[in-house]
Amino acid sequence: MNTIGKLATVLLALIFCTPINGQITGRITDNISGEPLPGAVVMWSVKDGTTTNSDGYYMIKPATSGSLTLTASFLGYETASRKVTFKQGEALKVNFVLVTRTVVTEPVVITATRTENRLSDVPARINTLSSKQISQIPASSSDELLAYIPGIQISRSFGILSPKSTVSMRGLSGKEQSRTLVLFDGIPINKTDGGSVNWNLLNTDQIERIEVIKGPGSALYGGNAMGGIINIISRKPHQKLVGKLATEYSTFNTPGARLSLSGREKPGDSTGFYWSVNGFARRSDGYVVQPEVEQTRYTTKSEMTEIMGGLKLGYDFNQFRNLEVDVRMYDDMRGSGEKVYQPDGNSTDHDTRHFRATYHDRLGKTDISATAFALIEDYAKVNEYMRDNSYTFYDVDSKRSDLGLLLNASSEVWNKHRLSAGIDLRRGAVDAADIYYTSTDKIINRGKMDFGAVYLQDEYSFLGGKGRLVAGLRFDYAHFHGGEFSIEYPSEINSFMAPYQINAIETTTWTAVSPKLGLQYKPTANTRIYTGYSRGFRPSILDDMCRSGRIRGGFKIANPNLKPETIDNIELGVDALLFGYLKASATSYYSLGHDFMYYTSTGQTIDMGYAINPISKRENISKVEIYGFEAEISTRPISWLVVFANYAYTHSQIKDYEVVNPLVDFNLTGKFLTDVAPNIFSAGVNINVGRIRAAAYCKYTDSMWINDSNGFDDTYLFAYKYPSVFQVDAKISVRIWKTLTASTSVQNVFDVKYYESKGSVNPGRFVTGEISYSF
Amino acid sequence: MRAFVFSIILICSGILTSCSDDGTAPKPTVQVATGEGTISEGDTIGEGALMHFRLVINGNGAKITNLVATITCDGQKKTMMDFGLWKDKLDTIIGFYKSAWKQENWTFTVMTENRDFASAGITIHKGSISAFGPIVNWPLITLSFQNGEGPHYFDVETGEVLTDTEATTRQSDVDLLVYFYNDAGKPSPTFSSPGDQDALSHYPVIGNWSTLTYTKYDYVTQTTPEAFDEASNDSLLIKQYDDVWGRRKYKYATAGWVFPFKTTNGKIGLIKVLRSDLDASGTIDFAVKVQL
Repeated sequence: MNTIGKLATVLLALIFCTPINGQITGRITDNISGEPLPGAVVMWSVKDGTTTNSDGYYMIKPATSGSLTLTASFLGYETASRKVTFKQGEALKVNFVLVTRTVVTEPVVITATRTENRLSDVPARINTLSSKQISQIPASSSDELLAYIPGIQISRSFGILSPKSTVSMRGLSGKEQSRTLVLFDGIPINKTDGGSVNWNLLNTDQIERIEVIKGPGSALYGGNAMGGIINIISRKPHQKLVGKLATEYSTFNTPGARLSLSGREKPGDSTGFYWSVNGFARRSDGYVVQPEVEQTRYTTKSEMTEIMGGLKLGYDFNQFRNLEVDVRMYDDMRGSGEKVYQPDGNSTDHDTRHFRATYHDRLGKTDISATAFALIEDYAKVNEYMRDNSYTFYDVDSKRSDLGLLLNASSEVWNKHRLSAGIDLRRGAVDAADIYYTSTDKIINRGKMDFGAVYLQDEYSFLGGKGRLVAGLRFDYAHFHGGEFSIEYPSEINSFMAPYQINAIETTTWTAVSPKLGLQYKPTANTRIYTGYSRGFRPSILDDMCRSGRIRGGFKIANPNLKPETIDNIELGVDALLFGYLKASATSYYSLGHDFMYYTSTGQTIDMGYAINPISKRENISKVEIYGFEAEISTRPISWLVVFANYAYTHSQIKDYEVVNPLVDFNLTGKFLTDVAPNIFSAGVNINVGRIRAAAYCKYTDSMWINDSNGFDDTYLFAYKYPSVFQVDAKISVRIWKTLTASTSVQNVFDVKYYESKGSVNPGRFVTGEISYSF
Repeated sequence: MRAFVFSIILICSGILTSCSDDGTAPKPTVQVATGEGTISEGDTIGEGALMHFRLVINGNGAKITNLVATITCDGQKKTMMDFGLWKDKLDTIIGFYKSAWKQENWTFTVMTENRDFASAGITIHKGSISAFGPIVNWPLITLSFQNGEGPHYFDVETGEVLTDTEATTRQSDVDLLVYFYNDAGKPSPTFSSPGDQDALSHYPVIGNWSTLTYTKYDYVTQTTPEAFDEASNDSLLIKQYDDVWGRRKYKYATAGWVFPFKTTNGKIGLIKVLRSDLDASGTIDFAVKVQL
């Protein structure tokens, strides 16, 4: 493969380097590094143009002789033009060296308004990561790419061995992914069943950019958008054929490989067919996550294997009309470090299939889009242990599905207004069973939640574009149905649950109204100030609505009457470009949450055989007050150096906790939310010199409360709080040859050990070496 | 374009549909085998006598994962054993004490990893003469918790308390030990078998032992101190111990609690806690009545 690939690259270079009569050829490179610029655009008339290949070469064939003006442009560079005289039958070679723009370029974002806007035109706090930034971040999974965005908290206790990760922001608990909405190409990927997101299934090589919108966003996206929205946008092919094959090897004997191939029928043209194929595979021997005192003779390393494959097919009918289909599959197995008889021991397995079809068009002045999606996950968890010389083995088998249809229309009206309206339809369902093999029990829970929503948004520009107003309103209707909790063949040990079986849990409905209003003013071209109000909500997870079962210290019963949690937020932000090169921004916000869900006693007790315990259920019983401040600066003082630093302060406290049963329940009023770091600081540098790209980042995460009552944890951690963590990550990449790049990343350089709530330890220093071949 | 749409439909339908294997799983078999010293159909047994059942179980290619023994009489049903395991075959003898019921219909049910079931039954009648056995009484035993200096280990058959050194040389004789800890803020004097994992964290020396016993404590059934004091044979002991609730440790063992246990050697007994300190350096006093 290598030899053939090298030969092909050399051949292509020769073809493009050697002018052929009747053609203009040339190469476009960076003025500092001399690196080729693949995908740069070369135009020789208003409508005629082409793009450079992966080595920066282009070739054009003008139809007529005469004077031409060639224009070369590329994102982040000053556009260059050159006048040439071309004669048919003669060859001409014209190279361009593009100069990097010294000002900080401004990305275009789509998530905050569901329409394309320059980042500074949206009255909200938005952070973006470009593909170039993403390639420099030391990360082993997609969620870790977000680690250095101000105020972002990531909970991934066991590194790549973690079956799940949580990304949270704006003072909402780091245990709950369901309070932060995550989109992939605009599709919500928080599962209705539990609100979680499987961050492992995303291929980092396929990400074009990530947009993070801070603060509630339910006015446009509905459920889960309480703390903010993260939209991961995949690459769209622009070139004839490009590809990348990367192989890597990491700590704990972890080999892996990633492949991405993409192509386009007519490069540089706004019509035609395009495609991309991508995938990755990785396995790891893992490590022992349990602390030494918890280890038994059944303790093993938490090993892992995963494989992912995806295919995107699209057709551009014209500049506005497009049909795109995306399918992805992911399968993993992650051991949790205890093995008795089963081949993989205690382990989790996600078998996931994602499907998306999107159609875009323009009818008159109206842009329309329709997206259908299906997210299906077969989740299996093997539980086995040996206690008291008796073996227990059961599976948790859960089929989770989310199906939806998203319709959106957007049009410019009355000169300075852009109106957007849409309808979102979605069904989330779970069909799960705990299937015991060492006893007769089969415990079943299932339920469905249907969502329907309409929304309207107006974007209005005034004062010659200096002022901007965005107002929106969304109405959500939800219907819970098909709920069931039952036990087949209850054994003696689980028989206490039998009276709580319900074959048809009552159906319930609720509605949510989510407004937003944002206003901003730009006194100068490089300064803006904005303020805004917005509301967010999260629906209850299906698990709390239709599943009864054991919880720590007791028993919980399903509560189908749970309402959504809501949060109202006001914020004020300011951005400025200081001294022409220092970008600075600051945001302060105040949020008040209502109907937050906590377990509370019903006042009844249950004889669980070994003890009489309280019965609990989730209730909407708490208000939460959150306020905070975020500040960030970034600069590119010289073309090869980027420096950034940011800080976030958060105060998250429970207010007006309603004690349902004073004899049993602890009053949480005044307590702080768990898993929220009051202070987070991060900083870093990116260096891009010649063939070398290097990055070094650090992050300080303050100590966090462990449990709801802010009490002493005397079971695992023997502390009130998780200790603060200071972590340093670094990455260096060297382009060995035109198509070959070697890189090394080190996460947690100083090998800092920290522990999660059950005492299990993180992987410590994690080193990855990678060699990639691109064409 | 048509080919494009068709290929998309093909790919998507392939991905979104899944196939299931409709294989036929092997069925297990279970048999109550008769022979010398084991119970046969229609046997008459005196109350309190130890009965031995020989079970021959075959998973027929699948692992046997569950063995349940139940007795029914006059519409009442009691689970005597519900045990998880992972074996291809099993030829074992299990013992139960004859209850006061006049006629016991015993059912032994096995399940495999495929959740296939098989069962076998046998009927036993109560004899006219009871067969309760003698017991031995250890009226006052004192053991130290893990940070205390006194002996930590106990041999219930001889009534001897054992130091670290003695216990290490007589590992198979150590039926129980004690330690103290705070369980989520609740003080817990704890009786444990040496084979329990948590015992190792309090007594690291056990990590070097080659023989570990697995005394099980019934953590559900409660008995009064008065009943304990009155017990003169193993009748009370047998009636109290329920193997379904047998675990390797017994927590919150403070003064006044009485609870049953069963040793690895099959001896059933009762422990009555007389007094307990509430720190890891303290001691615990208790009495034991156990089958002779």
